[in-house]
Amino acid sequence: MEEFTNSTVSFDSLPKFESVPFKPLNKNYLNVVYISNAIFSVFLATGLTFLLIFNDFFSDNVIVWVAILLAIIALLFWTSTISFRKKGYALREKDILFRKGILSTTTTVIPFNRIQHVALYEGVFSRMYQLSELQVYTAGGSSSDLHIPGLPKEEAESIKSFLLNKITVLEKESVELTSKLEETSSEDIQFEHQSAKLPESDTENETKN
Amino acid sequence: MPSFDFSQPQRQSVKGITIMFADTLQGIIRSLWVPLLLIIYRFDWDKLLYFIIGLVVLMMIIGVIAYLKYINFTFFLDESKEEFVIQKGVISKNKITIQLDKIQQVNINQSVIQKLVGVYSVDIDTAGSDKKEASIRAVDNQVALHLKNKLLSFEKNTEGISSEEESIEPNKPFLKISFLTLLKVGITSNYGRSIALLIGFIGTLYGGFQDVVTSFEVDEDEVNGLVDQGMGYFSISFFLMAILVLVLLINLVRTVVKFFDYQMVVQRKALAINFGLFAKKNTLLKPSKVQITTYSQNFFQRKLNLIDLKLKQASSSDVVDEEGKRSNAIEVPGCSRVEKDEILKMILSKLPKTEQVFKPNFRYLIKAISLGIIVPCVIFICLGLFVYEPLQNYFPLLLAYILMIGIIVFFQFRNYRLLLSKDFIVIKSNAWDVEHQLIEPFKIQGISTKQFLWHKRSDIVHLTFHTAAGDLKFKFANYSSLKPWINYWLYEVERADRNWM
Repeated sequence: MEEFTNSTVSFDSLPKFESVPFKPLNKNYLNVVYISNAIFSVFLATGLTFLLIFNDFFSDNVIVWVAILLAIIALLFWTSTISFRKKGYALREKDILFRKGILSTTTTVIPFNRIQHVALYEGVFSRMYQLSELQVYTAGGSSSDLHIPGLPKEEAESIKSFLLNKITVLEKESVELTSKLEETSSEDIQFEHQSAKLPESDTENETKN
Repeated sequence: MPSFDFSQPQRQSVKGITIMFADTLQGIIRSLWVPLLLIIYRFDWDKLLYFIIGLVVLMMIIGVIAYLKYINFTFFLDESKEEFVIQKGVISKNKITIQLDKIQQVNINQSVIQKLVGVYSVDIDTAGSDKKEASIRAVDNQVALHLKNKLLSFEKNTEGISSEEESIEPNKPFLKISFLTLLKVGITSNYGRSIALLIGFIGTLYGGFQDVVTSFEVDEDEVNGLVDQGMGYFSISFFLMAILVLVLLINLVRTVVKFFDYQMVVQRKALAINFGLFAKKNTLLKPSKVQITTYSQNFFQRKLNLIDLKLKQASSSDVVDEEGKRSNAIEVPGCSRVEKDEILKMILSKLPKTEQVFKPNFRYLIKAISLGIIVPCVIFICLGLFVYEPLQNYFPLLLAYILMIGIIVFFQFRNYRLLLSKDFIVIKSNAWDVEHQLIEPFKIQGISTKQFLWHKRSDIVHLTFHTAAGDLKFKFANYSSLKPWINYWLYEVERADRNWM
C-alpha cells in the first residue's frame, strides 16, 4: 500500500499561475515577422500598382488608394509589433504556459502530463536567425496546442528534450494503470496485429537491409 | 536475420516519387481549379503549342518538387527513447516526434493512385493531434506491416486486468428505453434541428420548382397565379399547423428509427449499448474513457421526467459530427432522473454537488443583445430605408423579433452558470434545452484564459477547458474569484497519476 494522505487543500497555498513571470521571445524574431510582413506588403503594393494602371476606378484616386495601402501596411507592422511584445512563455516545474493576443490576452496552461508530442518547426526566415518554433500537442485538439515561435534553436532543442524527458518519466510512473486500447477499434487492431505477424521470408528482409 | 531495421533514418519507397507527384498535382489543381476551368472554357486552339509547352514545364517543375519532397522525407524509430521520428519539408524543415506509447492506432491505407503504383500509406493516429501530420505516404507492403507491428508492439498490454473480472456479472439490462419513451422523446426534443432540416427541404423544393418554371419557360404569371390561388385555399395558420405537425413527425420517425430497442448492459465494468431499427449499433464504453458528460432537459421534458444524456469520449482524430463539433458521443435519448443518476454514478462513481456558483457578468447581456438584436435590426432598417423599400412593410415584425430574441437572451443569461465543487466542474447553459456539461478536473488537458483589454478593469475573463472530447467554455466570469480555482485544477491535474483515459 502506497503512502496515502488526504489533507485539505488550502487554495491560498497553491502555486499561482497568474503571477508567473513570462519570458519574451527572442528579439530577432521581430525581424523575422517584419520580413514576412515586408514580403506581404510588396505583394499588396504590386497588386495595387496593377490596379492603378489598368483600372479606371482606381487610377482616378491614386492618392487615396496609396494612402489606404500605406495605412494597411503601417497597421500590419504595428499590430505585429504589439503581438510580438505580448507573446511570452514560461516553464514551471509541472506545466508550460504561453501568452498571446493583441486586443485580448490569452494565457494557456498545459500540464506536462497531458502533452502528447513535441515538435520543432523552422521557417525559412527563422532559420536565417537560428530560430525555431516549439510545437506542443495535447489530446485537447488544435485549440489547446501550443505554438511558441521565436526561440533560439538551442533553447528550443533543450526545452523539447526537457519536455520529452518529463513525458517519459511521467509515463513510466503510471504505466501499470494504463490501458491504451481504444474500445471502439480494439477488434480492428487485433485483427491487424494478426495479419502483421504473418511470417515473412528472409529474402525479402535481406533486400531491405 | 532480424526483421526490418527502422533505427536508421530512411526514405520511403522510390515509387513514392509518383505519389508525391500526384499529391502535388492534386494540391495545385485543388487550389487553382477556377482559373484552370476558365482557361479550358475559353481555350484558343491557335495557342495549343504554348499550352502544351506550359504544361510540360509545369509537369517538370512538379516532378522536381516531388523528387525534393521524396528526398527530404525520412523516418526512423528511436528505440532507446521510444520515439518515432519523421522529418520532412523541402524549404521549411519539420521534425515530428511521436512517443510510441501515445500511439492509439496505426492504419495502413491504400488509395487508387497508391494501388496503381503498389505502395501503401501508414497513418499514425495519436490522441488529439492532427492526423495528416504523422502519415507516411508511400512504403511497400512488407515495410508497412513491419512498421505497424513495431510501432504497436510498444503498446503496454493491460488486457490481463480486464479479463479477470469477466465472470460473475449477469447480463441484465442496466437501462432499457421503451417504445413509449421514444415516442415521448421524439415529440419533445430537437425542434431546432428538425426545423432546420425542414427549411432546407422546402428550400430545395422551391429551388427545384423555380428551375422547372424557368427551364420549361412556363408562363410565370400563370403559374404564380395558380400558386396564389392555392395559398388562398390554405390559410396561413393552417400552413403553420402543417409545418408543426411535419416537424413533430420527422422528429418522431428519426428518434424511433435511430434509437429503437435501446438497451444498456453492464459488462465487465463497461457499458454495452445496443440500439437501432435498421442500422443496428453496438458500442462498448468504458466509464474511464468518458471525457464529458452532458445532460439536457427542456420545459416539456421536465414535465415528463425525461433527460437526454450524452457521454463524450476522446476523439482520436478530428471526427466532425453533424453539429460540426468534434466529438465521439454516445447518446442516451431518454432516461428518468433516477436512471440518469444511476448512469452518472456508474461513470463518475459519485454524483456532482455544488460548492460555489459563478454567474456571468452583466456584460454578457450587452454582448448578446448587441449581436442578437441591435446589429440585425440596424441592418434590416438600413436595408429597408436605403436599399429595398418594400421591406418597410415588414418593420412591425421587428418588434416580434426583438421580443423573441429578448426572451431567449434573458433565459440564456439566467441559465448560464458555472457550478463548481472539488471533484466536478459543471457548466449549465442554454435557454430552451437547458444543458449541464460535466467534467472531472483530472480530465482537463489544458486551461486557457482570455481577457480583452476592455475587460481588465471590470475583472472579467473567458475561461476555456480543453478536454480530449473538445473545449468547454465559460465566458464573462469574475477573474479574481476564479484564479484560486484554476490553480486548484492545475494542481489536481499535475499531482494526479490518475489516468484521464
